[in-house]
Amino acid sequence: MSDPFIEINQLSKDFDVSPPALERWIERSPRRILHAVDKVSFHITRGETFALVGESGSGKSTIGRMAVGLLSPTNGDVKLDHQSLFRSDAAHTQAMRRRIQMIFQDPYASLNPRWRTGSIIAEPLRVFNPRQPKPEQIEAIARLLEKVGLSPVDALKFPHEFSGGQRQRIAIARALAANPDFIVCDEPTSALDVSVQAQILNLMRDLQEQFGLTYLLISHNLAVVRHMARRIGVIYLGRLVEVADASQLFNNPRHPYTRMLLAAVPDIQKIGAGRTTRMEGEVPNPINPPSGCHFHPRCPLASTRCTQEAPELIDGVACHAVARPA
Amino acid sequence: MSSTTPQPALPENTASWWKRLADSDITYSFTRSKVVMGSAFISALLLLLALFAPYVSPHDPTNLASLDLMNSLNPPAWLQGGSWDYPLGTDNQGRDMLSALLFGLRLSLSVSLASVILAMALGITLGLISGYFGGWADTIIMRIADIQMTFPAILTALLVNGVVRALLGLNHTGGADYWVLVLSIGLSFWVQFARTVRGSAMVERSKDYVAAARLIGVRPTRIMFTHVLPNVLGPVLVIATISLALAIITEATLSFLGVGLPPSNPSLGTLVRVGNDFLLSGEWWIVFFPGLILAILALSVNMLGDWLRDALNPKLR
Repeated sequence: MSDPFIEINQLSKDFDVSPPALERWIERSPRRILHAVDKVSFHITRGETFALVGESGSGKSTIGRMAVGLLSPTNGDVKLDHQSLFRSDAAHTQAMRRRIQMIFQDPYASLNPRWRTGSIIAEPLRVFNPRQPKPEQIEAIARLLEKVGLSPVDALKFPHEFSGGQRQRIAIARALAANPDFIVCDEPTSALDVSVQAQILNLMRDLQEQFGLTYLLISHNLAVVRHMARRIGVIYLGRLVEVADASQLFNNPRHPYTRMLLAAVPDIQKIGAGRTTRMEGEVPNPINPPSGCHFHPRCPLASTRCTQEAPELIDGVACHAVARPA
Repeated sequence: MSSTTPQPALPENTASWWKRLADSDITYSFTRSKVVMGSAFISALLLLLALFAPYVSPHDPTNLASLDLMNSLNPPAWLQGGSWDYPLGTDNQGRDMLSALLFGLRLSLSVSLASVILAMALGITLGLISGYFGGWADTIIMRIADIQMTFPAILTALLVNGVVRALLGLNHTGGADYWVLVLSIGLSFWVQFARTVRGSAMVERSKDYVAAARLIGVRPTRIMFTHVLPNVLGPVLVIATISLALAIITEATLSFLGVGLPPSNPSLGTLVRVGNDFLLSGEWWIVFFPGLILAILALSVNMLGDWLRDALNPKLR
């Protein structure tokens, strides 16, 4: 296995969702803690795309936000090139920030509506390279716009003059402006038309090749993940349940949850044929998750052990029934 | 990167500002309503009169040496005993009412404008801090705002006025009256701004463009003023206009109560107070004209504010 570029180490995030102190005291209710992410570990090799898939509320976006340093973890660490992201050293943090960027889900909210495109893309340039002369900066903006398939003239327009796909291109240009190594893409296409999704994904792949970027792709769309990722992590209620190479995961899913997910994908070949496995149950409330293995109430293979003991991630799968004995 | 990158040809921004303004929805909605255009015209007229008061008024009401008691309590020119030297008559000091009115308008408007600007600066800053940072800062600022909301604005203004005067040992001498008035009105109007800005700032803070700026390490104060502020200014403009009308009334009320500007340098409110003493003895013009101008001014500014609120509200388009 090659040298890990991004290491996510036992990463956990708890959110305090308690009612206000006074209310809690009057009603004598305890604090309520939501374990959004629970001891998640994985690594990404330089230049590859790692995808995190999971249902809404599974904590995948929270992992993404911790991986870029927008949220600080309750426990655990994120390392880029063997250097921790979370150190209380301002100069170090700023140096790390430059190498990490993010592409957000909603291109209508991720661009400031009052700023011209040029200023939006210029902001990272200005922050990371404050002494760059103005003409050079303008040239850099024009080059970035062309890289993402827009025209330099677009620098003078406001975000509302663009379509969703074009806005996402602007967001990509802004991410590239910092000249990063690692980009977290949080559902980059889920707000876009299907016809535009492929264009954006192909653009991202082209840029990855061109600049040697490493992607962490967060998505609930298995088709997108299959198109983009080399390795995939499946996440359920804040825990990583399976990590595997893309081909292996799609051809030979091991964790019962992964199998259920893949079985739920509509398949044009099998129209009319009944579903072999059905998605059963619903995602439990993450404030009050099931004991032991979070998946046991929906799992066809569950045993009593599963209700008591949380399985470790062994050899890429976290399941008592499936894991080979170590 | 390819070496054949064409030199970007950045055109000048040719769509002129005026053209865009003329084509905008606001302009359209403005030209649709005669009442609004009338209010705007009256407000602009009064503003110009106030601005050029020293040039358009026939006498200098602030020069006490020029006053002649022989000319006191003259009625307006069109009544018996009036003269066109004093078109709107004179007060008990022999001061020309028209000139006093124009200078009073000037003072009233400048006090209200200055206090709204103070309230706006204070309210926007506190509202941004409250909305952007949340937590303890938010709790403290908003509780203070809540407490202040339980008092009528005029009471807050009176309180501030009294406290500042007591602290500085002022007794209607010197130019400090003006600034005390600005301070007391300004401090009683910030809450509206702070609450509105806080609400909008909380919405904007959670949007991803703020996250994108935080991601690259832009400082919070910079994010607050360059990213969040421009996106919360729409409602602020509306509140500023409506507050201006309220500030004009508040200034007049304070001056009427005798804690505002002194009779030697009267605002509209002071003129009404002085005229009030002569109402029962038949010299109605001393109180009538300042009151009329005050009512027209407050009404037209308020109409503008109401219109602006509706015009900027996307749900009412």
